[in-house]
Amino acid sequence: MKEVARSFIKSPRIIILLVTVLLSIIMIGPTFDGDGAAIRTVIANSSAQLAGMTSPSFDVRPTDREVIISINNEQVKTAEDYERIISGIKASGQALIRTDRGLYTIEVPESLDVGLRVYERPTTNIRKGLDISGGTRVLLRPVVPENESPDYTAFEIIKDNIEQRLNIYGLSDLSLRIIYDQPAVLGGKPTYISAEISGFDDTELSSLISSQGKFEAVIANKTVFEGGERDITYICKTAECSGIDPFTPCQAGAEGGYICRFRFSISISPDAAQRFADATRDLQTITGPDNSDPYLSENIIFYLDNAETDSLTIDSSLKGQAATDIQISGSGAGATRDDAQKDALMQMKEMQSVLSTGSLPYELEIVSTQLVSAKLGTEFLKNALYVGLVAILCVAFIIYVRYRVISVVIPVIIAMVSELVLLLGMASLIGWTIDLAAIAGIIVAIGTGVDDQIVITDEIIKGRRNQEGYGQRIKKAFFIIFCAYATTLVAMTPLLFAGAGLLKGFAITTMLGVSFGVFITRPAYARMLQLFMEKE
Amino acid sequence: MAKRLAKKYHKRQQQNGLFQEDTRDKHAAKRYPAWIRWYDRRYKVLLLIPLILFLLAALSIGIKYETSGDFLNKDVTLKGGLTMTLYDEVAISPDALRQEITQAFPQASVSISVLRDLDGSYRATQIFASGLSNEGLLDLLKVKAIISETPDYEVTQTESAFSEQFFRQIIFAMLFAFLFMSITVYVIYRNLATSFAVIFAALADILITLAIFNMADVALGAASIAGFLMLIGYSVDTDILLSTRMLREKSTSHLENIIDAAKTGMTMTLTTLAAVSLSYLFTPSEVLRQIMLVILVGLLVDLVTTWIMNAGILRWYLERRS
Repeated sequence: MKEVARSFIKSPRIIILLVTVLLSIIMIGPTFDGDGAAIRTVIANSSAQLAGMTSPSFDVRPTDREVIISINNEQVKTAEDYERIISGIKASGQALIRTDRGLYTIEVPESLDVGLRVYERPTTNIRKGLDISGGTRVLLRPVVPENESPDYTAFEIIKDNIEQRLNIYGLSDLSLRIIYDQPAVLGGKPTYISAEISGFDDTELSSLISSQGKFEAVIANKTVFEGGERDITYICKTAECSGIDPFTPCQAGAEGGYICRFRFSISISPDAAQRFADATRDLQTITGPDNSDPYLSENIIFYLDNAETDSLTIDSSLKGQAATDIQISGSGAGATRDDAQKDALMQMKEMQSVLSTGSLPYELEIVSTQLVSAKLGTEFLKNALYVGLVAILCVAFIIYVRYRVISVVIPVIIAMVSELVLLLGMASLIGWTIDLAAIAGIIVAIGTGVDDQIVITDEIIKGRRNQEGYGQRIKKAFFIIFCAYATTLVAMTPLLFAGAGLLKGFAITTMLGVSFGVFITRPAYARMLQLFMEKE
Repeated sequence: MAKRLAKKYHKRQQQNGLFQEDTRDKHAAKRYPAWIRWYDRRYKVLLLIPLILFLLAALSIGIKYETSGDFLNKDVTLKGGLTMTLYDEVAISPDALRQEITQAFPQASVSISVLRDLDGSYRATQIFASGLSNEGLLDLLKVKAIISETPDYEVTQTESAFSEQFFRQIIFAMLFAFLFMSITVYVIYRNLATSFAVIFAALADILITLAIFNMADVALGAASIAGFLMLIGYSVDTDILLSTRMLREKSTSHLENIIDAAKTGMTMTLTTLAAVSLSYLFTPSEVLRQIMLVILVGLLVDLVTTWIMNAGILRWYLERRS
């Protein structure tokens, strides 16, 4: 046994396997302290937020999330504990929430909802997708008018806008993608936007995402005009009155990079102009530093869906004027002058679209929604692990019955488990969410892995019988394996583009999985088997 | 690496020249039990079985397409509409449930099915509907206390235009996948007959499996398409194994090669079958079960298409060539 172990350590293929598996385990980062309820989201403007709590950003690793340890000195071990304790506190009562980062004092509002969404503390860095943690997946189609070709920038604007809206709502565990009907290189056009929100199976979400967006311009708490044709009668989009500000060159920003300014003219209705005059009549004039143009004491503030998006100064010449022609300016930033210009133009376009329709460049249609309840998600995961374990044992049993020696079963089990660990490690590393598509891909990868291992085993056994060298037999086995690998890769490629990208996760996981198998796991398996068999 | 190996193999093929296959086959066969010897003699005739199955499958799918406009039974994920799967026990009977829903949403079309295990125990209640929203339905069920406030459920709702487009794209993708696969197989073997045998076997596998589902009147959804794709991978594995063994092992008879390959291949199929059957029986997720069922049936069909059809075609070709 010692000799086998020593030759194990010497073999490069096995070392590669061990090293990659170890790295994967580190990536997955399993923790053993499972107590506490992790914070998924802090709802905006809620009591929790007022007390200073913040939502985690999307790229925070699952095991780094803030965890609630106790409420009012009562220990919180599970998400259920949290729900139970919190619901027991009456309105206007206090909740002293202690987390692993600090202590927060929250006043419970009348609605009894302090604005925290929690879930079971994650014990690994594996991001759980919709299907195993619960959540909502919405597929939206921006309705592009008949004669127009879909504008990619418009899609970006919509995507950013949805993200902003959801962030304002307090959701940060999001995945938004623009989906093409064909690969971009083949002339595909952006067609759908998919939004996935983990851990939130609120049915109101779909309407929130697809709503058009409400725009208001406010001076000193009085609404002066709203987005849409009623108030805004004309928006200049041509070169003479819109674009990069020709009178203000791009300047270097304070922290490096560049800032460029844009401007465009709009016309507002007489009613809106009157409201504007009324709102600005009583404001003071302020002279700015560096002899810049004097402006008024209140800014005009733009709100989108009740959240402030811009605050612009009002030129003093407009004080008390029922001006129907107004020029709006703003800025964009970038690392280079070009980038800054591009950003400025995009900001301008976004503002123009919001002003013109009151909302987004295109109307949004919900094409497909999928909700999985959180309870179902966690049950499903537990079950998947259990079934996976039973499947591995079953496979091992069949292998034993076929070959009648343990020395084949052990390497097979090691190989199967290694492949699973490698895949999960890669997923943790790149932040890939494990959902149903990924699980299907993992099943394919491990399934073909077992198949290939059987091929290798049979070739080696035959080789022993026919007194042929291991090298030759293994080469033959790998020829078969490689051919199967090539055909699988090639068969999965069209899926990367088809089906509105919904099967992309499946294709990528499968391709990755079989690649790991062919280049890492199976060579190591072949060597392991050889060493075990030589021992006998 | 594959290209280098392929080149080496082709060189050896040229060097080996002819060898008497008939007598070797005759001697080889004597070692095997009676039923294998019968298979050995009758393999050309046996080819008719998968061939007929294939033709029947193609015919039935064609007829279905002519009469209903689809070549498979689509469920809501491919047709458009709403599927809600409730994993908790539902307090009222399916008929009463249907009445409640149609009362609240008169313009909706609804059908309910209760899924049970083989022993009769409850698995889930599925509501198929179109003409109402999932929010509306969920609210109704909660308000009428048909389900609890925090139910175990999943719901998918798709607009039919999108489903159709999605489906068409997937079919295109599968056709492309087959095309790429054919090219790859041809590049590997440089041999039209071999590529034909492998691709035809894979194609037959898919079509026969589909026809079986059609005849059993089972509705297939987006998940089952994933199952078919996985099936392509698994079935091509066994075909490549068989073809490589038959083409490369020149020192043993065709029958021996087939038997050897079959030992390996059956073990491969058996392990996958076992894992898939277990998943099918013990997973609560209806989506995953659909995938497993497709693979299960497909692998059983693969046993025929690989070991009778692919083997037969290839053997016939090799014997005629020598």
